[in-house]
Amino acid sequence: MFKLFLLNTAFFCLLNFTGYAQPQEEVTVRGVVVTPSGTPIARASVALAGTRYGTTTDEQGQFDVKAPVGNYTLLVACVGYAAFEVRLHLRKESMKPLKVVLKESKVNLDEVDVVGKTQVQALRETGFSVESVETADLQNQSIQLNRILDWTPGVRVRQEGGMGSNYNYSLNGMSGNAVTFFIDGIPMEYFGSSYTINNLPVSLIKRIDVYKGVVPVDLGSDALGGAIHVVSDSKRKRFLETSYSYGSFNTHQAVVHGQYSHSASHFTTRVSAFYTHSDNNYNVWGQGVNYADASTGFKAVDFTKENPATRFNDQFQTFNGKVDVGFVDKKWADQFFVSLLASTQRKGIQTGQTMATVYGKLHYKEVLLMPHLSYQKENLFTDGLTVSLFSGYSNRKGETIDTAMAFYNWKGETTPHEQGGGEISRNGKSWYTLYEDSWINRINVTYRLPAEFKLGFNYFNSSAKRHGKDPYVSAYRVPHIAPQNIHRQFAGLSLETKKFDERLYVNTFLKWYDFKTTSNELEYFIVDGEYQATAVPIKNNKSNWGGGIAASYKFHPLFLTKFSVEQATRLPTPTEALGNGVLVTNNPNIKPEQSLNINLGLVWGRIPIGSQQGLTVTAGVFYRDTKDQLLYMIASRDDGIYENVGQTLGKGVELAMVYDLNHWLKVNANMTYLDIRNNQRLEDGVPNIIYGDRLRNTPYLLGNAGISANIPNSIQGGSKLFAYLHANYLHEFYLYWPSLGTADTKNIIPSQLVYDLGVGYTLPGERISVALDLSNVTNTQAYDNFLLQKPGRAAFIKLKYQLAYN
Amino acid sequence: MKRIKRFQTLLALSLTTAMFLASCKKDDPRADEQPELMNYFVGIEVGEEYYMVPSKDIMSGSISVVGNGIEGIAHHAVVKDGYLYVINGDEATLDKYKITETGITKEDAISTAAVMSGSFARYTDLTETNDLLLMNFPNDEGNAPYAIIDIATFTVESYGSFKMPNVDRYKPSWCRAVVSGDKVYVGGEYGVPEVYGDIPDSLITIVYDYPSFTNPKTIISKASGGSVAGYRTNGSFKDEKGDIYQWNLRSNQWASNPEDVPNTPCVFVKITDGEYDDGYAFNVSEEFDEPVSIWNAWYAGNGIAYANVILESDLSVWDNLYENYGQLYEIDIYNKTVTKLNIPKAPLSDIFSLNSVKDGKFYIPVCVKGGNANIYEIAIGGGPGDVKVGAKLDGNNVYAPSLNILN
Repeated sequence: MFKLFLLNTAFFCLLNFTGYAQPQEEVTVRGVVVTPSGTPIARASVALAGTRYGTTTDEQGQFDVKAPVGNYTLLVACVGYAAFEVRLHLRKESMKPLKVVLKESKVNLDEVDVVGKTQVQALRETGFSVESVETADLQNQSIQLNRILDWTPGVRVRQEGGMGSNYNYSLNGMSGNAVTFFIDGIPMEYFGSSYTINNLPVSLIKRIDVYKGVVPVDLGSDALGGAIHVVSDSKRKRFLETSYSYGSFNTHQAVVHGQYSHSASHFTTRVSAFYTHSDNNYNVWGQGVNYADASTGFKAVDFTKENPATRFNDQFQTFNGKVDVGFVDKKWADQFFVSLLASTQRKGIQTGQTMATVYGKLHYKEVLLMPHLSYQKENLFTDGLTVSLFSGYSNRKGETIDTAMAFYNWKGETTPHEQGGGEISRNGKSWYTLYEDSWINRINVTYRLPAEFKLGFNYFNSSAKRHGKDPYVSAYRVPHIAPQNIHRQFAGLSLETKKFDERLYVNTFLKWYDFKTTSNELEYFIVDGEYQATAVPIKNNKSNWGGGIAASYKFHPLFLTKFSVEQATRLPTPTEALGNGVLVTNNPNIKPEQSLNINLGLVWGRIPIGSQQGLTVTAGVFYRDTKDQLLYMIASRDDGIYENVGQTLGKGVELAMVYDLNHWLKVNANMTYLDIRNNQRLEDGVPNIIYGDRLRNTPYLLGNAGISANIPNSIQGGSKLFAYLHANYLHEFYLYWPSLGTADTKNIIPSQLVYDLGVGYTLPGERISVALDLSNVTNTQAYDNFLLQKPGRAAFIKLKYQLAYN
Repeated sequence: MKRIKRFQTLLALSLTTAMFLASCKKDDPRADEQPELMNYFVGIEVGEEYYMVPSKDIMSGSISVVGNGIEGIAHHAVVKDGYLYVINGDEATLDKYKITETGITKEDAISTAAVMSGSFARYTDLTETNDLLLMNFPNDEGNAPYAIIDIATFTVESYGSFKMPNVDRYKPSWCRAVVSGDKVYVGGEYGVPEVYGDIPDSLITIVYDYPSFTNPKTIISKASGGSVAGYRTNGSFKDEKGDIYQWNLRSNQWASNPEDVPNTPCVFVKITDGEYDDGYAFNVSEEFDEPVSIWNAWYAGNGIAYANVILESDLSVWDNLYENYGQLYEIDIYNKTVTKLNIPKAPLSDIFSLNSVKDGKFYIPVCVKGGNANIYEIAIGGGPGDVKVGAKLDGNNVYAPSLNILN
């Protein structure tokens, strides 16, 4: 039966033991792969047989392969189509683009050996410890990016609740803001709290690169524990696609994504927009979820699984639109766009730091406008010089509205506010507005040097100003009533080379970091008998140097070793330094975090097992020595502050295996074990009792297992059926230092095993697809954070329609 | 018959008495079977983490939080009749623990979220009527939440909020109460919140009927200025004679510089029969050669209080409160004397609850920053040297914000 199912999508089998000759002059073979009716075939494999040269086609069916002059056999293969094979003579003179027509077929392509290298493969073969998650198979599904990334080795996404809730990434044990997010190379923190990895629909994303520990210079910012780089799905021609999903908790998501490009002038317009709404009214129960009133004698009575409470102030709604207008493929620019990002958000705030504190009306609203310019050009002025520029301005207005004059419990019932305060503000109503203006500039330059060297330079500069107001609150209580500023700079220089027929990859880099903050505190002076407030600035300025090296060596075509080391610095974010005016207070004396990160990894595979099966094994170990770690410390039941809290030493291991049957069926499993300890031996010269203790509130044993199948022609010829089942395991961990207190009284985040499954069907022609996803199938009581329960079982259905495509 | 009955009664009484006396013999093995309950409860902070560590001995050995203690509670506790009552901030409850020979076991909890609506329980005090009085500071409108919990039944007797009046242009911002008879004396901190540096040149207390918190009456002392709401501990206490004494918090790090409002020294004042006794004021500042401030004081009985005194010259910045600048003094409020105790300087200003008088001794945890942490035993009225070093606490990153003793 398996023979009915054919090979799918991009694939990399390093089956050839090619000689490592000195580099020769390369030429490029370009072409397009189409069906007999002219429809482009995406993700077809294109390879020069018996060599390592190859690629896969893009969404327009186009490909280009670089190879030395010579005679080859070109192989083209794709799931559901008969393989194509032709002799090819590559010569220096320019070649006409090829047009390859594939006929539909149910023949198994077992015998075809295809070699190629996608961007993902190329990235994995660098010395950086990086996982690249391709979303192609999941783009039709209704699944959050956070969930997808949670399946990645070494990654734990800690979400406080449902759709739109706060989240925190743990990358090999480094968490919080130590993990930096980028979208197309730009730090996402300037895009507001709507346009985040939590909310971006998967259909807008091409792939996600997860860097653990050591981060390349071209990402252009400070990052200590790693970086998550979202690469958006940009296509070259005209298209328009739309999708809509609906599911549990009254969750709706609509996405429109399109591009128009004028053939002659190359004038190009892109639009991507999405709308998300969820009531997030899922059930919660257990510790912290209780009610108490006169009927219970004010004794706390917990809700149970059989009689749960329902979240009632957790609605989330966001609209995001992004328009790019510009040109592509011009002499003076490969891409030049003037863009505008606009987003709005409204979300209820259901709880305080834990579910023990309930809010009924408290909510947050945000509006963001971000005009920006981007420019990219290869071979600018001279061969080998590539320049990429970005400049943007971001204006954000966030409002925290606390005007309910009542107290809520988990029944959703209210009692009059005895004190006449808001829900978090004890002094009457509060409507706090935080204004933030930011400028972001980045320049990225690479220059190809002789002897296969490449020089890279990156400079990033950002400044943010925050001020706040509240019409209901006495001026002296309003955070940021005097403006506060942060200015951050980053510069990086890298030198990269590939030697010995690309068996050796080395990237060495130097980084410089600088930040300045100005916090203002009001002081009152008597002037002419009247008190007058004067803002007294508190300035803080820190600079740091860092650097490192990433290298890989392929001892054997199936065996790659990787090594990377970096002395890294992470500058405080605006929220860490200046606070957010509501739940986070400012820290004028904050210092950057610093860490020595070392990674060692190996990739073994794809190891053929018989003629149709393969196994890929990836293993890695890492070391993190962190100083001045910035952690959010809960200061009261409502607010906290970011503080430099000391030193940690982390070691860890991760192992991942992928078994595939002819590439259409994949079974994968991975596990990560972290051993991160308090590394502060002395405190004020006296032995520290928690020295050597495992880091509190940090997951340390996690694992994933999954099976997925991509089955072509399953119901109709030309259709695709995709199905997956995934299990995600998290081992229990302590909220506080493990060695302190009596074991049976300690607060824990419990072990949990959560299953997700889904199925998607794409009709012939790939214009219409429908998908069904079921998350937390067993309705497990799941937590990422102490006493903050996540949603139980939920179902979603999604319809995707591609309106036009050429 | 009567004689026989009388004989039987006498015999029974004799046997009972003999059995009772036999049971009291020192060498009776059954005497050792009486369970010895945990009777000392040391609150421990490690950074932002809190533990309540029970112990049977605080004068020898060590009391360690490593592997010991109930997580999440440390600051506000009351020990009474075999139970420990403590505010649990994580779950917004007042928890009731039964004290056993091996530790404490949670038995019950009252939701403070429900009774302190819109606020939280900042502290709890045991009243003379065996109630627990939960309170928080007033908001900008002067409304302070409270709840009264009956210990015997562990039920809510009443809850709500009471209004603290403005006094001239000054508004209340902190408060803490002590109950005496059918009155509750709410010591206040008053000022102009919008403007740090404007406080009245007087001490202000609001007297209410208890437990109704009605009929507010403002009483004012001109003995000094500043706050009589206490700091971490209460600013008021009642002595054995029924008088109420208060100390004032007056510092350049608190509300205003003393020179902004002159002639406002650190004092102890007395309230008798519902009014300030203008005939009594103990000017503590006069006992020192340079300006000082008091950050916490504890009454130990018989007119003796212990106070954490800091030189104002050491308090150039707020963070110095957490340095080794606190010195414990014995203050005889009847005889108006101040005695420096032979105890190392340490940060004592974050001790939230000390109910630690036993057998004529006063006990206090002293955690020297960068040094040792120990329980100290002080013979009440014994002079500067009548001090013993007791059990050792964990290292430098431990701070003990409470010590409660089961008497």
